[in-house]
Amino acid sequence: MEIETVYDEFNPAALLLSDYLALCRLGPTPDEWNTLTLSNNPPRYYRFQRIKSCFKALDLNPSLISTFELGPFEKEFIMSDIEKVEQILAEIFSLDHGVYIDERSPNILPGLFEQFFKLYKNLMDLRKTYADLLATPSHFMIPILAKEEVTKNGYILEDAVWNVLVYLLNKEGLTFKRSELIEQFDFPDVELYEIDLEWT
Amino acid sequence: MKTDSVNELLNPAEVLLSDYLSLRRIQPNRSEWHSLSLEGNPPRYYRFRRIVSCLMALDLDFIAVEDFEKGPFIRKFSNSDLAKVEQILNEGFLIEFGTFIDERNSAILPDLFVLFFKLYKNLDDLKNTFSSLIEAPTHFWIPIITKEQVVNKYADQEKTIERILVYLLNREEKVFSKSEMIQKFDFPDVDLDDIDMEWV
Repeated sequence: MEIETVYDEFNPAALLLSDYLALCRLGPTPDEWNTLTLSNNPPRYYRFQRIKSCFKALDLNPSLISTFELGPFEKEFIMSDIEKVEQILAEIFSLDHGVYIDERSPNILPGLFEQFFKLYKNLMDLRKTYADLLATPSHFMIPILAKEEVTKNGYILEDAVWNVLVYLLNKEGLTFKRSELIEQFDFPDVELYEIDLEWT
Repeated sequence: MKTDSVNELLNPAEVLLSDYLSLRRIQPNRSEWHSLSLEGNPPRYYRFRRIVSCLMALDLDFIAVEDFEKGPFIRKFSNSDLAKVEQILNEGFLIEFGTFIDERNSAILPDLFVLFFKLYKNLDDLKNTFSSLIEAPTHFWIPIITKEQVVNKYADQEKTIERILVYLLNREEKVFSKSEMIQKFDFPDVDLDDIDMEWV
């Protein structure tokens, strides 16, 4: 995710998810992420710094970064959070309360985060199937376009899953300017695409 | 893949793809893929043996199993192979094949195998996002249903990609009965469903 201008407001949950998934694709498994192991690789290092900053901005405990996929939640969810999640999902299909009526409690939300995260990760891996191709001779366009035809079918569902994850991480819908993230939460003042370009 | 009846004719390329992907899911570390290290784990061991047998049946047993996805091709492809792949692709996708191929050169087919395999593997991972959940609480139906909705949308395209891979692996479209596979190619005479069930 690129940060374009100084005026835009950013949802740290959206930045966090996108940087987390990018770092998963680039590098070692999350239990090996620390400033020391990543410091000699700027694309990884700055993504890790951004992840830490977003954790702070969202008032999440940074010691939970390595277990992020299980849901980095310490605060309890409430009933209206369930309703909000149902509302997001209602945009893609009508959810029959009967399927889980015996457990319609805010306690299921961390578990839902974990499962939806797995799904989103696999959706992104599919979308990024060819992201690591360096050269693309013209015949490579055949599978690349096939992949596009496949994934465009899932965009609406993908967005809904994303919205559920972003909501659970940032229920208040907090947003910040880039300069605020830098000043208040140690967000690294670098452009990722420049960092990536220099590293290649 | 189910291989029920001894008389049913099997395309070894189909069995190979299916067993290869399921072994990849249950033992992602391909450096562990040899008889010795898998022997203690029957679901892995018999899949490995079936893969080896199918490679033999397809005359592709010059390649190490773990290198299969790099493209197991020595024999050159012909222009009629290229035409066949184009024909299969046209049945599932809107891609103008001719636009992307400089000289209609069948030498691109190994590349197409490698790239389409990556896509097929990521589709398979997405389809199996929740397959390792043994006991799912009822609310897990929500992400499971979401996943099914995505997967259903691309089911036909996935089948088309599978047909391309199967054709490239088995141009002659050889088929064998299970008993032939057992006699000629040392196919293990076991039922994978039974093996998996006993192991749980």
